Amino acid sequence: MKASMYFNYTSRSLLRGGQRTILAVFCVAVGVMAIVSLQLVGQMINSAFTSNIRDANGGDIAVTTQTSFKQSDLAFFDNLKSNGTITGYTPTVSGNASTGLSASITQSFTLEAVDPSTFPVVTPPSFKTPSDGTISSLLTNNQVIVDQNLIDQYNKKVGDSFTVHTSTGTNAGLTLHVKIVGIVNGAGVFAQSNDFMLISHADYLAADPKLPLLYDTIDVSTADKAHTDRAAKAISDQFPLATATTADQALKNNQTQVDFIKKFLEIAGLLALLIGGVGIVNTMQVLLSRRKIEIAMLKTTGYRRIDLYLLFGLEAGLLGLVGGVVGAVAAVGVSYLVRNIVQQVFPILIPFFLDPVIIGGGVLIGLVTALIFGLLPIVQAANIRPLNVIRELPGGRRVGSIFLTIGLLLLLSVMFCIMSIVILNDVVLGISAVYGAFVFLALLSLFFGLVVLIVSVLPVPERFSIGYLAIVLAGIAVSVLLYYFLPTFGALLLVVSLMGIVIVLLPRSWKSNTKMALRNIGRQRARTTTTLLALFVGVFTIGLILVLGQDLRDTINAALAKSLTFNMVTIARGNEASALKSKLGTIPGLSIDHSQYRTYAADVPVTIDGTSFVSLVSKDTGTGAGDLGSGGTLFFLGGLEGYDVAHGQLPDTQNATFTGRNLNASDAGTNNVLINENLITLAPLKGHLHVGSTIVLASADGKLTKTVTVVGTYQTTGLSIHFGPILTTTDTVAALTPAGQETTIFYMKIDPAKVGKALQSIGTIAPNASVINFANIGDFINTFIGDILLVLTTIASLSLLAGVIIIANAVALAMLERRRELGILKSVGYTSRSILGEVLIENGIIGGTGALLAMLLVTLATSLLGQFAFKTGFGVSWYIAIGLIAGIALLSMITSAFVAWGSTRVRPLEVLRYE
Amino acid sequence: MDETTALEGIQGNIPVEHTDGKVVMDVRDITKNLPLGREKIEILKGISFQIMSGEFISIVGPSGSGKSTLLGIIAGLDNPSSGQVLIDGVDITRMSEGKLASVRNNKIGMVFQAFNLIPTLTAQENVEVPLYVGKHKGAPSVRAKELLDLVGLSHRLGHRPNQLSGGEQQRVAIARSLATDPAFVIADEPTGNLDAKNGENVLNLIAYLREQTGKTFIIATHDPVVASHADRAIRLVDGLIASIDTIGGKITQ
Repeated sequence: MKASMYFNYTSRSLLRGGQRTILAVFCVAVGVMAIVSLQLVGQMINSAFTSNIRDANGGDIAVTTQTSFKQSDLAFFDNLKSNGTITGYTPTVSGNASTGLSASITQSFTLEAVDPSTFPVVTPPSFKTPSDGTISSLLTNNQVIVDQNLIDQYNKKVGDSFTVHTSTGTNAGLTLHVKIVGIVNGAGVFAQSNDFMLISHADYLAADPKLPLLYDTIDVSTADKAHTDRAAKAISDQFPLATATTADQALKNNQTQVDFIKKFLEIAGLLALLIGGVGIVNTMQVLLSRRKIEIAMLKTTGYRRIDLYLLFGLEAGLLGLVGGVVGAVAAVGVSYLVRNIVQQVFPILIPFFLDPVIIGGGVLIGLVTALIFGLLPIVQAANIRPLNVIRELPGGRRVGSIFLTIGLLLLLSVMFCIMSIVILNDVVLGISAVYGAFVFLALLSLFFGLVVLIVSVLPVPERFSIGYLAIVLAGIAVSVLLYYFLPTFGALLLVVSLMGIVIVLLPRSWKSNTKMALRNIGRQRARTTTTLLALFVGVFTIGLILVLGQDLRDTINAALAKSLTFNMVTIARGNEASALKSKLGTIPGLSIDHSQYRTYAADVPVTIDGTSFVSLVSKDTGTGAGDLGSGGTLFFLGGLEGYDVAHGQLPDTQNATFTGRNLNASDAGTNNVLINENLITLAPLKGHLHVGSTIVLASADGKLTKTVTVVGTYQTTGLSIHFGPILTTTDTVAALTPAGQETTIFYMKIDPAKVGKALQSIGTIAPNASVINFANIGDFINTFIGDILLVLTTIASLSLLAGVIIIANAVALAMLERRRELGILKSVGYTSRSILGEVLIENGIIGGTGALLAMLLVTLATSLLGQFAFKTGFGVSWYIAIGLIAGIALLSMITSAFVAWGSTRVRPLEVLRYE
Repeated sequence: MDETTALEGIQGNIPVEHTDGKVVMDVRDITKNLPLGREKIEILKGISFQIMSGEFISIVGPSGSGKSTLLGIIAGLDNPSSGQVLIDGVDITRMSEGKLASVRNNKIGMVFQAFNLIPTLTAQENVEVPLYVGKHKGAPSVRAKELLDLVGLSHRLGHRPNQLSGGEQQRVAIARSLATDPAFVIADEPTGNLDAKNGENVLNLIAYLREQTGKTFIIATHDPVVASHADRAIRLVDGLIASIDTIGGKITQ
C-alpha cells in the first residue's frame, strides 16, 4: 500500500468519525493540557525560586536572627569588610504594618526599614515609577517606596500621604506619617516580596528616638564563593543563634521545595493523562467498532494484522498529534490561570513565562499517549474474525482474547510507566506512581465489578411479594444500623432501600425503563466498571478535598470560638498603656469581664542552669517531630508576659494544663516563671531544662539581665495565644524592660458589631498603639482554606472532566451497539423520549453509584486522617455527600443525554433492516 | 359486501369467510425514494391497496422489489416519500413521533426475520416490553405468560434469547407481537432465518393464531409456501404492484 493511501485512509476515517474524532482529540488534549500546564506552572515556580537566587536571597549571605542584631553587632561586619572577607552589608528591620490602627491579619503588609546608602547589596531594583528612581534618592523625609500589590490593595498612588502603624517582634507600636514616592518592580531583591513598604532607618527611628534600633536581617555581599564560605563561617561563629544562609544554600532549600511542588503537579498531570488515556481507549473502540465491517472487508481482501496495526496506529498518531497541539496551546492559557490562582493563594510572585521545550514536549506526549492507549483497541480491532462480522455471528470471549487483553494492558502499563519516568525524571517515583496507581485501580476495579454485578441483577417487581419486602426491610434495617456509625451514609442507604418500595409503585413505563437500565448496566461490565472507576477518581479527589476543607474549617472555627476569649489585642507602651488601662471602661463594646492586660518584654536566654544557652542549642537545626531546633527554642524563650499575681491576675486555666504548678499570689515579687512544656520534653533542651531550673535572661538590647526560676510548665489546649511564651510576674517583666519601653498587651473582647467604634476610641486614647484585630480571623481562615481548596479542586476537576468524557464515550459506544434494540423498542411503541429516559436512568445510576462509593471511601479516609493526622473527629457533611452524589448523577445524565439524543432518534426500519 | 364487490378487479377477490368486510388499512399511492449519492432510487413507485379486517395478506416479490420497504411504511416504522397509509381511517404517515409510537404500540405487532429480541431480557420480559408503554389492562407478567403458553413456551419463561433456539426465539417474537392485542400482525420474512422444520412450525403457529385471534396478518415473503397460506398475495415487482391474487386457501392447522 502506498504511503499516500495510508494517509488518505486514516485522515478520511478520522473526518468521517465526526463527533467521536473530536472526543478522542479532546481526551488527548485534556490530558496534555493538564500535564503541560502543570509542568509550565512548576517551571515558573522553579524559576521564581531558583533563578537569580543571589538577588532573591538579598545577598551572598542573608543573616537572620530571632534575637535581633544590636547596633554594636554591626562592628563585627565592619571588621569583616575592612579585612576583605565581605565587600558590603546592609542591616534591615522588618515589621507588620497597617494603614489604619487595626492591623488585622488580612489588612497588614510588611514594612522594612533599610539604610538607603547601603541597601541593597545586590543588584539595585528597577522602578516602575519613577522609571529612573533609586532607593538612595527617594528614601528621605518620610518618603516610602512600595510595590504594585500594595498600591492595588490599598487603592493608593504615588504622591499619597497617610499614616502607618507598625510593630516588630521587639518594638511594639510606632506611628509613621509617610508619602509614597516610588513603586518598585517585583524582581531581583524583591522577587519573593509581596505587599511591602520601604522606609529609611532614619525616618523609622525618628518616629520614636527612644527606641533602640534592633535589626532582624543583615544582607552581606562577598567577592567570590571562597569568601562567602569564609564569611558565613565567621558569622555563624560570632552569632551562633543567627542563621547565615548563603545563596547556594537558599538555592538548595528552594530547589527541594520546588522539586516537591513540581513532582506533585506532574503526578496530578499524569493522573489526568492516565484518565484521558482511558478516554482514548474508549473513543478508539467506538471509532473502530463502527468500522467492523470495513475492517472485515480489508481482511478478506488480504490485509494482514500488521497492515491494520500500521493503518490504525497512524490514525491514533494523527489523533494524538492534533490533540497534543490543541492541548499544548490550551495549556498556555490554563497555566496562566493556575499561576494566577497559586500567586493569589500563596503570597508569592511567580513571573509568567513559557518554556517552549515543555510546550513542544506536550505535543510529543499527546502523540505517545495516543499510541500507547490506542494499542489496546487497535489490536482488538485488527484481531476480529471477518466471517463473524460479515455473518453477524457472536464473537464470544475466547480464552485467547482474554489473555491478549491482559497482555496488552500489561504492555500499556509498561509503556505508560516509561513515559512517566521520562516526565518525572525519576525512575523510582515513576514506577511507584504508575504501578501504585495501577494496583490501586485494579483492586478498585475488582470491587466495582462486583458492585456492577449486584446492581445489574437488582429486582424490579410488578408487585410486592414477601421475599421482596424482606429484602427491602433488611436494607432499611442495615441503613438504620449504619446511621449510628455513618449518619450520612445510613441516610443514603435508607433512601436507596426506600426506593425499593417506590419502584414498585411507579408507572409501568418507568419500571420497564429501570429494569432495562439495570440489565444494561450489567451488560458490559468491564466498560461500566471503567466508567465507575474514572468517576470514582474524580469524585473521590474532589470529595476528599471539599470534606477535609470543610472539616478543617469547622474544627478551626470551633476551636476559635472555644479558645479565643478575646478578639482584639492592643499593644501599647508607656503613658499610652496607662491611659488605656484607666479608660478601658470607656471603650465601646468592650467586655471588661473578658478583657485582660499583661506587661510584656522581649528577651534573649543567656544560660540555663549555668550552661551557655548557645552551647545547648546552636548545633540543632530542628529536624524531626521531636526537636524544636534552635529557632523553636528561641521562640518559646524569647518573650515574657507579666501577670499582676498580687491582684489575682493568673494564667488562664481554661485553655492550658499545668505541670508543677500555676503561678499564684505568693509569686508576687519573686523571679518564678512558667515555661512551655515543649521546652522540657523536646530536643534540644530535653534533659537540660526542668522544673526547678534557673535561666538567665537578657533584655532585647542586652543591657539588662535577670535570673528566673522555673516553677512549672504549661501546655496550651486549643488556640491559646501568649505574646510572651514565658509566663511570669509583672516584676520580672519590669526587670527586663529598658527604661521608657514598658509595654502592655491588652487582650480585649469587643462586641463584633462595635469593633469600628472601639478602634476609634483606642486610637484616641493611645494613638501609637498597635492593634491586632482577630474579629475577622475566622473569615481570614475561611478565605485562606477556600483559596487552597480552589487550587486543589481545579486540579482534581481535570480528572472529573476526563471521567465525563469516558461516560460520553461509553454511552456513545453503547448506543452504537444497541441500535438494533432501539429499533426493536421503537417498533413496539417506544418513543425517542422513553428510550432516552432509560439511558438517563442507566447513567444516573452509574454516576450515582460511582459517586456514592467515592464518598464512602472519602468518609473512611477523612475519619482515618482525622483520627491519626489531625487528632480530631472528622465527619462528612450530609450536604456535601448528597450534593456530590446527586450532582454527579445529574452530570452523568446530562452527558448521556447529549450523546444519546441523536441515537435515540434513530429510524427503526433503518437499523432493523440495514444493520 | 358492496364494498368488497367494488374492489374486485383491483384488489382481487377477497374471501369473505375470514373478514367482516371492514377496511382496516387503506394504502394510497405510496412512493418511496432513497438517495444514492447524487441520484435517487425509486423503491416504491405508487402502491395502493386496501386490507379488510381479519385478512391474511402476503406481500411477495423478488429481492429488491420493495416488500420490506412497503412493510416498514405500513407498520409505521418509516415514512413514505408521498402517499398515505390510513389505519382505521387515520393517516399514519403524517403523525408526530409520539402518536405514531402509540399506533405501533396499540394497533400493530411486528415480527422480524432476525427475531430482534432484546438480549438482556428473558423471554417473559421480552413479551412484557410493549406492555410497559401506553395504557394496557392487567398485569404484564400475566399477559406475557398467557401468550408464551399460547405459543408453547410456558417452560421457557426465564430464559434469555441466547438460551433459546431460533424457532423458539421467533415464537417469543410472535408472542410479543400479540402482547398489546393489536389489530395487525405484520411479519417480515418470519421464516427467513429458520430451517424448514422450524419455519413450518412458525407458519402453523401463525395460522393457528389467526384462527384463534381473528387478527389481520400481513406477511412479506419470497417463499411461495408461506404465500400460499394467505387469503391474498400482493405481488410486487420493481416497486409496483404486479398483481393481487386471491388465493383463498383454507389454512390448515
